[in-house]
Amino acid sequence: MSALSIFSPPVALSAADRHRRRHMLARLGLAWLAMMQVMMFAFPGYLRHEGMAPDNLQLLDQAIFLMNWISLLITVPVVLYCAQPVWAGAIDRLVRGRITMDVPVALGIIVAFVPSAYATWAGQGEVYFDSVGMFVAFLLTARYLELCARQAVQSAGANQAVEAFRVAAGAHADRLAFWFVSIQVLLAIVAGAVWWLYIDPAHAVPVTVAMFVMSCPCAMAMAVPSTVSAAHATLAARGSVSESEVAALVQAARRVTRQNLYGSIAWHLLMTPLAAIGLVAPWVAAISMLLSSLAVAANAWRMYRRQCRSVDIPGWPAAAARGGA
Amino acid sequence: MTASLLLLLPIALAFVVLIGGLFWWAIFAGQFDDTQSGGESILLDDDTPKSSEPSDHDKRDG
Repeated sequence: MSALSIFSPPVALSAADRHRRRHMLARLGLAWLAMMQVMMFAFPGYLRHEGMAPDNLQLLDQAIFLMNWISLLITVPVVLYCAQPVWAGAIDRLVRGRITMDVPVALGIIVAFVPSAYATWAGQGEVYFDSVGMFVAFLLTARYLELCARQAVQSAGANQAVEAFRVAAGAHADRLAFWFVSIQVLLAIVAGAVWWLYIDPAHAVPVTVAMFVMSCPCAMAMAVPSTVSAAHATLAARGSVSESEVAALVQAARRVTRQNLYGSIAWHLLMTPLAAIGLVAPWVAAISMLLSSLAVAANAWRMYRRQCRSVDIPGWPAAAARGGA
Repeated sequence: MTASLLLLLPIALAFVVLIGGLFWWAIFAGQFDDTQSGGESILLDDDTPKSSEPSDHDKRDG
């Protein structure tokens, strides 16, 4: 019986892999829990405006003050524990003098968290704890999908042709992501500086945070692993395949990977100018990041469904793939 | 209102910590380590009849 779900942990996981998987699941779940709580506590902050009656305003400010402190208490473990892979990755790469997607993510968290913590301490100013929570939770969702896909592939045993495709496409995606991230980080710093110096210092932090969130190439990072795991799942569902069928599958995987890579770049190019002119709030940027990651995963899954449908094979995996949508 | 907030917000925080702690315990107790075999067990169980000998219960009745 083939394992259809990438979310069921493979039986043959090593102890270290299993441990990592447990921690990733804990990080993901706790980040979502904290995110929902912090969003709730952030709500009074969005209600506040200067036109309110003075006594209402005073009451609301007291509530906001309390809720900011609770948000801070909840966000600290998110930043320290849930975002730990980001810190580890960013420091590791910076020590080696390279930039990957962890660097802008780490910068985005710092830029949003530190001013918010200061504003909470000082009792005035805007806080962005909800953006931090959403950013970390959505990022971990993408990472968890990627980890599940990778572990499912490892335990299933890899096909040579698909493996060769993975190495080549992975190198290409890494190169693209490097340039993309470098340019985006520069743009974020420039946009933040321009807002700070010339336009409106109060908006410099949200614009910079939104730009850093936008610069996270989660969707690009997922493009290759998700397609490769879809290809492996197709092979597992089909059982025995001929050389030409594998070649056709790799061809389809290449096409889907290209769609995912360039689609996510186009999406970022569309959103970045909007973020730079201040139209995209940090939390909107976080949602847009999640949507692009999910679109990439859905596209890979679509390929798996189509590939399984194109051949008529007995057995329930194919029947399951044909049923439904 | 501030007085009720001072009571309700710590309760909310306590619930978050409690639920987060339970989730943590469930993960590291291995609750999510095998999500597949539970569903498959109903398909894989051994349906062959055990033996033709009557059980103790049948003997007493017969």
